[in-house]
Amino acid sequence: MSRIPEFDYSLIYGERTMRSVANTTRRDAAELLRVAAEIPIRTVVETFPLEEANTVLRMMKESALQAGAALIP
Amino acid sequence: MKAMLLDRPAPIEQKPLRRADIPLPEPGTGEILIKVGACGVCHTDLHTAEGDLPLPVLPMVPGHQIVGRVEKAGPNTHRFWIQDRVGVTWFFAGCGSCNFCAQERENLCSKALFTGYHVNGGYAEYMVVPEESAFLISELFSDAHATPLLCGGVIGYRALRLSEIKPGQRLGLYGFGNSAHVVIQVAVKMDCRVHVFTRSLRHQKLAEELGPRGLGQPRRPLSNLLTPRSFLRPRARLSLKHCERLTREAPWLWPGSQ
Repeated sequence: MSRIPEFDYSLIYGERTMRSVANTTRRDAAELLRVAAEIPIRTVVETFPLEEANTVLRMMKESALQAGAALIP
Repeated sequence: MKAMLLDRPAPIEQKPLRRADIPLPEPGTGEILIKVGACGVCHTDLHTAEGDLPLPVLPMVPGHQIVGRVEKAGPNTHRFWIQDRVGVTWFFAGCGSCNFCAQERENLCSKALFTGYHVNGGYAEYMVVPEESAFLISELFSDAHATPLLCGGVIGYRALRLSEIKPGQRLGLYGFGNSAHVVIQVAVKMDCRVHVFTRSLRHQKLAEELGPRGLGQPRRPLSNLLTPRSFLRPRARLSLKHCERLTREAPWLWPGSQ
């Protein structure tokens, strides 16, 4: 995990709040899936055969994917 | 069954995932067996494959944005029918007895198990999961198109929820990938004013495409697209050691605190 870069205290002065997020709860998943169907959310996904997992992860490392990618077994 | 197995982490250029035939898993008590239709690829999988995260179990099958059909149900299950289409997220199971688990904050459980990390995930033909960690997927989404919702989408949604943003307020998204392309649509639906900061021209284009959707009459051009560099320029020092010490010693900064 990389370190968080330093920044000027003035960016946080004035009762600003920073917070982190750790993982997700079951409630988050149930809610988002409901909201996603209501909106409905459009997702952008490229698909690849399962065997190409290494290649797709490499593309992700090199920012060569537009948004989502999925492996199909 | 067919699976992509991680024996030992290595730089992705060395192709650390190996195609393997491994035994079909059997669903235990409270678990279901899922025939995987699609499994999303997440940056966390890259961290896993390259060993940026300590790996508790090897060899292991990564993958935690899984959509598939219930193939078989173990003893003491009641939530799904066989052939129901369900999704699985990073969160696999909590201990079920700590304070966090009791308060529906199982994401902070110190004994939590994560899919495709502590247990085999979805880079395979089948996987098992506790039925309470699987969710019905709307027929509006294809298998592949539902996958970004299950990690990037959910974590973005949680971040949005924790931010306590209200309709009409401004939201800044730094970087625009799998997570942000879902969250922007939730935020726009909430009538928030969204600003996207990304250097990638492709991501800028996608943000502009997705931003105004769902908003009948945008009040103003939606996205201010700036480079992070021009916006975030550190000038003075706030010692990280201070932050680290605070988070270690100050009870009000323990996990889950406000």
